Amino acid sequence: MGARIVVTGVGAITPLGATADETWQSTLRGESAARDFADLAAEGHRVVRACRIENCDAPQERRGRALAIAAAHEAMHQAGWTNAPRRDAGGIFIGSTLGESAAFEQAGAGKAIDLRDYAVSSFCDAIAVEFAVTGPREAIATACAAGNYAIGAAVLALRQQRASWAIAGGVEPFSKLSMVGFARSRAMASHDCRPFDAQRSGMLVGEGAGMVVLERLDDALARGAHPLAEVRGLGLSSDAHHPTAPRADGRGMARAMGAALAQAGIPPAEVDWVNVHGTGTRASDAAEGRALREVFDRVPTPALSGSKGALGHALGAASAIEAVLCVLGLRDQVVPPTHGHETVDPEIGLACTRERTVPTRRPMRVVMNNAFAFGGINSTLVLTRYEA
Amino acid sequence: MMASGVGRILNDELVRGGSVVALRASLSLPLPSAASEQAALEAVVDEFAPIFAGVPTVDGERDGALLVVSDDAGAATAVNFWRDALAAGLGFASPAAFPWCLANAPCATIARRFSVTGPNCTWLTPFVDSRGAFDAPAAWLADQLCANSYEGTPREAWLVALHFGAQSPRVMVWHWSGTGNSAESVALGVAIRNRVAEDWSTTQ
Amino acid sequence: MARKESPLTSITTAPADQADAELRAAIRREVQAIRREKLPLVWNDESAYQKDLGLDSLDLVEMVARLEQVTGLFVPDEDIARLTSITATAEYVRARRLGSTGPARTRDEPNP
Repeated sequence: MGARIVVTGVGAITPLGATADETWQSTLRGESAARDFADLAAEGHRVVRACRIENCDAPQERRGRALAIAAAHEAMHQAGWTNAPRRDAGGIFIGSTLGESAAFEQAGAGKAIDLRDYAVSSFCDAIAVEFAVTGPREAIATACAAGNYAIGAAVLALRQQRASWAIAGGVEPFSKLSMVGFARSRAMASHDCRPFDAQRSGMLVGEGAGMVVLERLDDALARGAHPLAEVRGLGLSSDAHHPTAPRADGRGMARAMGAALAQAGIPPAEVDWVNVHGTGTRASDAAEGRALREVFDRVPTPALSGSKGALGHALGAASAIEAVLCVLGLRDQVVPPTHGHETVDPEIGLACTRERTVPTRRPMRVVMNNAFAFGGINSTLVLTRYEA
Repeated sequence: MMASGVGRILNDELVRGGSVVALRASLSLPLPSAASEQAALEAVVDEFAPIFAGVPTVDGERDGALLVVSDDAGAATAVNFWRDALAAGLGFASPAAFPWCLANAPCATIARRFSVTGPNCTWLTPFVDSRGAFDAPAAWLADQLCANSYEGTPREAWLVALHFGAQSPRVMVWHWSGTGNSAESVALGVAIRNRVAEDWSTTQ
Repeated sequence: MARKESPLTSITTAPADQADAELRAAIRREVQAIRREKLPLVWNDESAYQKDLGLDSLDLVEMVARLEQVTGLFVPDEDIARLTSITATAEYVRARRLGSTGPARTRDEPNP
């Protein structure tokens, strides 16, 4: 299987907090960042409700870079590094959907701009410069699943010894382009995002960055670091079905979940918690529900929670931010409430947490982080509590 | 709309690293000038058929990995989408091009066209003409081929390189298959990277 | 907000039949543009977008967007299910123009 890989630091900046812990505490309190924005209304957006970070003063076309660096600093600091160790052996693995969306918007408005400087790889470059890191870099563009992919890419590089430590995560600055795209595709909620809820009507757009520091277990222990969680598997599949709609039977999603558990060597019965993708759209939540029922067919369903009602859909950053929340949940032994989920949808037949939930049967050890991108690109990350 | 210029199948080659992995087929094509990235790729995608035909579908699916690397997928579409949205008014913008603003649209499209349901990934690289552009996809490809194969059946993987830009837009597709040993995956990744990077740089 | 003006954004003074014919023609053009060579050989204004003309969910939202552009009307999400054919679409636009949007559709109402 390869070397054991652990998380030794996490960082996040989201509409609910400037740090991972702020976001986590806010989420536990059941808060949501969703609100209407006057600037969007003034610009003629059809949908003006979103989740946005309100204290970021970076120039619009460098907002993503600022978010990436902030989250990376927090993760590195938690890992115990103010300066990067072994700079040539550090890898940087970043996922995003659009890179610096504002740069593309400016180009669309007629500004002469070299967009290569603003693509997803610009986030890798920014972190590399910030920490003077020269190891391998990957800019992964698998949209709503990119954060999971970035973590998986880092794990692979560490196991293949192409790097000896890594920063991995996802970045998505607020994108007016995405606001228009999703609104005109009629994917947006009529008001709030309500994952798996009977009255759900669509998604809301969010933004942010989530980062983790990853190392081989032996290296982490040798330097006295405290593993926060272990990465056990990444399952991937493709629906190969439709440009935007998922397979209604959830088969591709179920395959990704099954592949992740198989890679982790963990049976479904041992999963304590699934952080659902839960965008709040009728089709995607229904498909994910079917997939969950298939995967957990013969065992009690684990606790289900989702954060897109609280944070919106942070696109390329979503699964990375949510992986950070999974790590903190394992640390604190609590599953957060699912903001927006109030009534079980009889067609889905699955309930999400409505308040913070403490495990009762056994300590919480295993969590699955689902992330399913436009075009049927499916990913599931399996994280476990670190146990020697 | 047919592509102008000639695509050609390169010779099979066996890459040995203590594992049995082979380049089964590859194809290079120029992308036609077209109204959009979507139109350009859809104009040529049927010509990839011989590259996928070597793996029969099972229950309508090809269980292999599909990996795409590009230096500009989605960029032109995103710029045009926003330009058109401003012209129409944001509240009246057309959504049709939105999925292709995302760099992973080509990979999803090819997966759909050829029913490839395994792992699906897209990387963006600053310059697809540089060898380093292929490091990550080749490493993943090697890992896919070396992943535990319970019955010893060969693993399949396809790698696609795409450049939509104004200068020489083109696409190249490689089909790799084999049963690799995970101890060899790093060496295999390097060998695959060297081969695809050389193919991309020497093929017009 | 810039929107292209067309005769269809203000048709209240044109004879109803002519306006309706122009509207249907405009919608027909958009359907043809979206589906290009994929339309069946025989189809008409009664043909159902999804069942008969093969428009998928992506085509439908594009169809609605173009309808909004040519008419200047804002179609709320909950009205989209009413736009099942060119005839139904033309009827919807006419009803909106006359100001009688009708009650919001509920799940109990039969599909048109």
